[in-house]
Amino acid sequence: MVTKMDAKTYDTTVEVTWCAGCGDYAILKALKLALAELGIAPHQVLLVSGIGCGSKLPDYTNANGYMTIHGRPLAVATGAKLANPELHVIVVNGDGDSYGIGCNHFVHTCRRNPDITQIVENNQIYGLTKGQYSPTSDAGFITTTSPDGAIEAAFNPAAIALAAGATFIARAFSGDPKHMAGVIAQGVRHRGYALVDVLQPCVTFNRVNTYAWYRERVYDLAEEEGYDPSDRTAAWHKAQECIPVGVIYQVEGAPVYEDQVRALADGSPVSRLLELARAPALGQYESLKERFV
Amino acid sequence: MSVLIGGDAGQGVESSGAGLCQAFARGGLQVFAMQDYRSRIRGGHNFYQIRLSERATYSHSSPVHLVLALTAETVPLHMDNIVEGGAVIYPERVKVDEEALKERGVQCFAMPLVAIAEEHGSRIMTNTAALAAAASVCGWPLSYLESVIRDNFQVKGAQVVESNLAVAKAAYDQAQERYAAAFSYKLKPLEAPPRMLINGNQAISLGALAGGCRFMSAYPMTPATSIIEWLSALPRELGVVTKHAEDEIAAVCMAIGASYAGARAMTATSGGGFSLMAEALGLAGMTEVPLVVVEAQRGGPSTGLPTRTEQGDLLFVINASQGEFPRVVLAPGTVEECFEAGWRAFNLAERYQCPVIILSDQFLASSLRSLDKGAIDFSTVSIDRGQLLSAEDVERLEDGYRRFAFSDSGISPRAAPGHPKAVQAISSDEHDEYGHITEEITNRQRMMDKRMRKLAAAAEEMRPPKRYGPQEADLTLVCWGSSYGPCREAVDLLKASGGSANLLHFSDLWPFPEDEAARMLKACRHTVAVEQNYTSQMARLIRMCTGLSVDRTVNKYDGRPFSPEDIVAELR
Amino acid sequence: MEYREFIAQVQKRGKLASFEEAEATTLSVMRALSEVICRERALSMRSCLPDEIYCILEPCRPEVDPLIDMQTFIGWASADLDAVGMPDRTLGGLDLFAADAADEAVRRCGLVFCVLKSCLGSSQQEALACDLPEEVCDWFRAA
Repeated sequence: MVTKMDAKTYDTTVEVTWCAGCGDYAILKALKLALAELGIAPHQVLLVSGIGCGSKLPDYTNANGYMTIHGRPLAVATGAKLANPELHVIVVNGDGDSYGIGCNHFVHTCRRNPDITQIVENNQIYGLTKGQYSPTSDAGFITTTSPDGAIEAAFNPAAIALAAGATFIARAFSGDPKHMAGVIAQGVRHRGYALVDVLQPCVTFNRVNTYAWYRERVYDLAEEEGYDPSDRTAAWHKAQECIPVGVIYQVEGAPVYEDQVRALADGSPVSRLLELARAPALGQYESLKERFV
Repeated sequence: MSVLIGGDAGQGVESSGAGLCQAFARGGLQVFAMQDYRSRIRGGHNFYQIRLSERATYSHSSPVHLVLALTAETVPLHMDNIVEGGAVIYPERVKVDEEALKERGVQCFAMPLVAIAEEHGSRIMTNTAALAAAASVCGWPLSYLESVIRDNFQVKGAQVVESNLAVAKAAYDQAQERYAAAFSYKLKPLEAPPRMLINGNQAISLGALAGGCRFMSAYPMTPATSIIEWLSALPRELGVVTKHAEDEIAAVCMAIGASYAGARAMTATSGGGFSLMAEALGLAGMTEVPLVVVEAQRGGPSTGLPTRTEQGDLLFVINASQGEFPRVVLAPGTVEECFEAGWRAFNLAERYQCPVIILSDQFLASSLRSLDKGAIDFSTVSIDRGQLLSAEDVERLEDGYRRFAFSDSGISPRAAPGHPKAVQAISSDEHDEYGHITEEITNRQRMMDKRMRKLAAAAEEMRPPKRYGPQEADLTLVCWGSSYGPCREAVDLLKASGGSANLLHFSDLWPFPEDEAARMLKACRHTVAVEQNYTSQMARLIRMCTGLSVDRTVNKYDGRPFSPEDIVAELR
Repeated sequence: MEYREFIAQVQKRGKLASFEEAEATTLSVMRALSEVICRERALSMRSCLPDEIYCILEPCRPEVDPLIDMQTFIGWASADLDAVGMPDRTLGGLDLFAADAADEAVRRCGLVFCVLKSCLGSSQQEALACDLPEEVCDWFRAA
């Protein structure tokens, strides 16, 4: 029985430093709505972010938050989840943080399938450092570090996630915040790793991938007759297309990482330590000495 | 007495050596075993050097008395390190320079080890034959080796056990007949309760377990790998969650995440991995998340000598990561100190809410020492979580929860996320008492002061260097970490030959125990820093913190551990 | 009103540098409006607006997204605004006008709204105001 909450529960009085018009505002609103919809209280959720404009989101949310270091929120989040599986752990970071420096953790998290949701604020540029190209910038994109146009092919998060075994892959557009809130809620509800790649314009530095540019290209997969998100081959084709939003791929019932860790069967590192601090039960280790005899 | 087993990588030198150690330990002897191996799976010379004694020993020792040479290469590599009257046991078919050995007064005990193995079992049991021959010439009862064979091979089935026992008996009998009388170094079993054979990594793991560590993430790296392996092999009921992560950065970040959530979490690596972890160390320091990192040093720089030992990371570990924040560095010198560091590190980490690094090295991590079972005393272990707020404490909070509340000690009461009244969003940016990002001047100054005050508080708990030997001595060896053992034995050797020496051993390195160290050093007549590095990092640390210089340094950076004899020779 | 007249008024009121700039601004704000109004509303204004302006309003979403707020509106409306200056020699990177861009975007919305209002009757204005997200609605009424 889910008790829906008021989205205002997650509001804070901290001054938001995002530029006016930034897509992150809509993402923050959508996340709050999703949490409210699912009845997850502020103390039950842990938002873990990296470094970047969007990674300040936990600072602007009344919930547990840990703003870590560039590229590493997935690793920190995984550790926190394994230590206390009761927490709803949600990673929020940008395209550079997740697909550039953090790509190694991204790929392995897809394989690992922990019950963590990741929202990537994908604006196809590096905002906080003032406008360099990012892994998801299209080839030819001109910036100060790609003065002749970006040479590499753009990183394709959906395709890579699919190849690496992710069990929930979705995309949203911050210009459609209601749709985005729904997709985020689905991601959080999904048992396993959920990737929600959110296309969001950077109004200050990205003059190419604007609201209008995305509007011309996005279309809702849910409105496509007969699209089956559990069909991996279909998902592969959709991952190459420009640009479906909604749930691209979803498989339910795949084993979640934490469920398979036998050491978690009767308690977590956090709960066990609380017991041990009360009653260390040091006698239980004596028998281990025999291993050395 | 010392026995050395030498052979090619892939020939089972390590398992044979470990088996022989057990055979001697079960008969009540005290054992110290040092391994020397290469960064290869096959080929290249490896050896295992076992020292046996009636009394407790702290180091290996040279020269050796008996060599088991499984390959021809073993002999020239070690022949200058064998006592007169000593012997080399080797398979008949291995070509050995008998003349050279005889010139050194070393006896040649050739045996048809391969043939014996093939006759009673199979060729792969050649090592068993060699071990049995060694036991035989030393006068060591076969029964001990037999019990080791039964225990170690039972998993492979009764047939394998029986064959090995047959090979052992045949080799034992033949060696007895042919060579025992000629070998004058004998070992006698002692009445003693069974002892443990344990190395530094195992001791740290045991200490961490007893100290409540239930999360360990790591990336395999020699010589630290055995820590995650040992913890992963524990009964699942103990609830230790281990994670072999995709790289060292993930490993340390997972540990930080787990600790933030309220667990006692640890990672273990060597110098190269620690280099990767440098940034995350700062994350833990800045966000005041307790963290324990085991750094088992090896030969550097870069890939260096992956399987060899060095003490080259001292200053790196004390200074790593950008900016300034409190950390604690412990450098245990013995397996007992490793056990203690294992649980003490967590108490320090949670009390001061900072990273604690246990600095070990390949020599300490992998050398086996026999310990009375009572030497690992679980009743000495305490779990002190510092100012951790319980759920009841959080309930009672009146003013709302501020994760980084200013305080006189610099330590802020800490609540794990999950309680409705302790919702906290914290940042690795400079932050206010709530954890919110701010660049405001006054807050920044106060926050830096607050964090660094914790270092001053931790300094009160840092132990001064300990002395071994007489209070007054002509010569004081100044050492840290694993060189304790060889230095201690060197002090004994010097005393035995009429010299006057003692040692000062540092095991708490940071915050550096300045006042005590200065007082003790000033009272020394002549100080010699004995270090396994090129630039005498401990001597430099001492000078930086106290202004005092040591009189001399003895440096070794060839990747091989000091032996007591090496040190004495250098001092001559 | 004719299209060129509409743009010229925006340029004049806002003291914008050129016709092209006023045109870009007008099109951005109209585009933003098309995100928050329904087809009915657009149709009701058809006869009052120049065709070139109406055709930007027309392809609006089948359902208005109730979560689109002032921030997303500004995001659309500031598409034509240049928020960066020259490379910053002191710290590296680009020198930002982003801090002022928000105010400028709001000002320009006001300009376009003002001219738009002059094309509409008062009940139409009121109806349109009710469709707008909070704050955007205030700018509209104040324009």
